Amino acid sequence: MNTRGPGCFEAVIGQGSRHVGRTLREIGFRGRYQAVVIGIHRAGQPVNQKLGEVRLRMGDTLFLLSDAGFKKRWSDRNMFLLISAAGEALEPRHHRPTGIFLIGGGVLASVATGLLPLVTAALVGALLVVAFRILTPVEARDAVDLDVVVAIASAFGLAAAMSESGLATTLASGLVNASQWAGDRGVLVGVMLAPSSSAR
Amino acid sequence: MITNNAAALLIFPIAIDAAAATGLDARGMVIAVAVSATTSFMTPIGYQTNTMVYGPGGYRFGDYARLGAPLTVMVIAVGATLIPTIWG
Repeated sequence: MNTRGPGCFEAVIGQGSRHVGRTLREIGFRGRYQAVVIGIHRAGQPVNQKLGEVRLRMGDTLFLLSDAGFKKRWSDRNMFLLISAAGEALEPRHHRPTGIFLIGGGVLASVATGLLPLVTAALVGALLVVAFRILTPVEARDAVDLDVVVAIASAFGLAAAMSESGLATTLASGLVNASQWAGDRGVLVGVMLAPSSSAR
Repeated sequence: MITNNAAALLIFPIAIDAAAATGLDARGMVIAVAVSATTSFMTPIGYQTNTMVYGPGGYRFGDYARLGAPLTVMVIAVGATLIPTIWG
């Protein structure tokens, strides 16, 4: 991407953004992001207030004027859910979708048939994606979402702690007692309700 | 409010113990956890894609629950019907 010259961008405020509930002035937006907000859209309507005083909400779309490197600078951070250059609806991907479907299908098939262990298949698949230049090594590295990796790794520890301490057994028997009147299917429904109520 | 992956992992040991306590197949129980952890339809922040369409689509927070709740009930009903049949 050309990193010179001005560019127009749309940036959507994400849930993880520290800016939710703050105004552009409080954030010091211009200095921090080297970008000027020229408009804020909320639920498809432009916000008709002084822009510096609008309390940002999740899902707000900021229209920005910045240099062409803006997107590259900020798209990896969780400040913005997504950034697109104005007029660029979706980032065009030029790789051939058949390649990625074949690799993905191959990974699934080799694991499902027991040909390869999951980790081996996934690593081979990831290598093939880079080897066939569907992603560059840099893109592949950037595609790893560290937040999710850390959350899952920590959850493994918590899950082990729950088993060791007997908390899991206590919760499980509580769950079984609460839903047993509806039979085994009732317990199954209880188990399905548990993660959905926490992941929501 | 945690990621669905982490939620699945945290419920996993509970599901295993619940399977042992009832005599349900542990495999079916784990699949129930995996399926339900992915059904985040109820809020705009349940999953990234929910948030992406939140602003541009002009939705309200409650719209997600209004359509998401019946959808979640459907997923759970279908899961509770099919899972014991397949992994009995």
